[in-house]
Amino acid sequence: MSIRYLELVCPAGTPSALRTAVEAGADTVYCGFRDCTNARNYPGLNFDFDELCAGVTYAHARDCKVLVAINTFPRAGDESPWHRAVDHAAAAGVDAVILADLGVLDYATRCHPNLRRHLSVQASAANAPSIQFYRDHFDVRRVVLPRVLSVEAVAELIAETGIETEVFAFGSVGPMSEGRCYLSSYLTGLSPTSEGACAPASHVAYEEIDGRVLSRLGGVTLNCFARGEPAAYPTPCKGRYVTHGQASYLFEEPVGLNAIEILPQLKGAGVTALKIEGRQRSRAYVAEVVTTFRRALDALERCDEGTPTGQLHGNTEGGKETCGAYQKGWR
Amino acid sequence: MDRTAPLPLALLRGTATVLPRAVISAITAALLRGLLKTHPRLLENLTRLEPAIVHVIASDLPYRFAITVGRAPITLTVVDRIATGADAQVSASVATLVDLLEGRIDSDTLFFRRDLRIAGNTAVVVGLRNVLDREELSIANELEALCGPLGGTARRLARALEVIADSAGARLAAMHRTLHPPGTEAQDLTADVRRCHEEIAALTARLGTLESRRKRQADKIA
Repeated sequence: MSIRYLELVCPAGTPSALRTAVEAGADTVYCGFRDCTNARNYPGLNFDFDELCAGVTYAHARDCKVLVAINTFPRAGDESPWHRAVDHAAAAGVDAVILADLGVLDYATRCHPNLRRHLSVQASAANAPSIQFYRDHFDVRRVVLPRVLSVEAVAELIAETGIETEVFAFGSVGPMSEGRCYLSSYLTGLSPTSEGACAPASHVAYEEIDGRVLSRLGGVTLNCFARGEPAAYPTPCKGRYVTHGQASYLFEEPVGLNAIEILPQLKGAGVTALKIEGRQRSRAYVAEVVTTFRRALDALERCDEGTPTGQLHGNTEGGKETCGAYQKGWR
Repeated sequence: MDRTAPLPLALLRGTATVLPRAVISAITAALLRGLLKTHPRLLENLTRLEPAIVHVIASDLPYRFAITVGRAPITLTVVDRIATGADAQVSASVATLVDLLEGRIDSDTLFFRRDLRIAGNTAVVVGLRNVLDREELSIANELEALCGPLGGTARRLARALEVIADSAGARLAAMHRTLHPPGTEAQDLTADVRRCHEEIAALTARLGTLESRRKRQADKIA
């Protein structure tokens, strides 16, 4: 595969989304199996083994790589689904697996030494010693960085570790400690890190009262959207909580991450790949976001003035965008 | 049918509003049979969902659609606008629902914008959305297939009728504008601006008078 500029890594929640992403200009697509081994374990989503094999064939025929996320954490004494997922990914001929758990990394290293390993953001490796540990012990070739680093911090990490980095370019702002957040577990009894679904749909409920929409998770009201107010995902980190008699977003406002304006800075920092989040989104989202980023990256490669940034804010939570921690102006 | 061709939605909605319920039921049942036949994995994936009845409510149609999933046979029926008994509900306009079904718009985006409402068992709705989005469905293709050898003719006729309806709609709108010119507010605005100009002129004159008086008084003191 030729990396035209920054490698564009795109979500594929279903086989049709995979084809859409490839056609829209993805350099790489990432997907997961239909079980608890990946962090987007939602009903009707993901791939079985045959679908993955077909997807790999389709993508490789179009010079596009396929990565498989096996990025949840095995339950004690029940590692077999994760080991089977690694075996199936290797058998399907994928280009790399995206792993988070030490045991799964160890299994993949021992049983499939030639299968390229990436470190999932779920491992939350955000400092040089941590990244070097994964690189040195499991020959991890690429790390997906948590969304808590400024561009300068990303550049320093790359310089210090010498490892390929993949950073989020579009999706959630994600300021939580990824892979270690238990807010959703507290409300639902299900672990996002081992069951693979933060705010599982089975525990989500919406109620409309006089034009206002209440979103609940595990019976706890997380938000109330006024008539016409843009809505957000029903995750605890984006709940609006009442403190001192006033409702406000304590952890994170419903705002989407969009780094399309700072692609030159990310390139300058030495980033290898840009990740578009959204395996749980429809293929219409995939088509629009991937097409927009493809155009922006191609324009950047040609050194065109005025990189096209598109109009993606309609696809983001709350209808608002930010560069998040990349340009953080807070301490 | 050309997959990129838009479904003649206004015609479809109009037809769906006036046809007898029994005819609509027969067409939707045939439509489902066609979709399941042309997309064999759709049946398998719908059957794998949690057993449930989902009401799909097109806000601009006088009835609902009820789809049963999670067990064979999968059914799609037309039910009363105020029917109950659903495990989950999805509501949006016909145009939005068709765009969703055919993969032209993202459901989360619609949700953020509040253009799509869901109630009841969210897991079933999410599962149904994902299963439908796995397929590249075309209502237009299925409707054309239902017409058999006359499908091509029906498609051309539908498009022609849609063009005629659009044209008639535009003419009606033009007539409406002629009969009810939107000038009332603009005329009021013009009058307001004229009054403002007159007041400014009067105030300017008054200011000049005051300035002259002040100057005369200052000269007198000096």
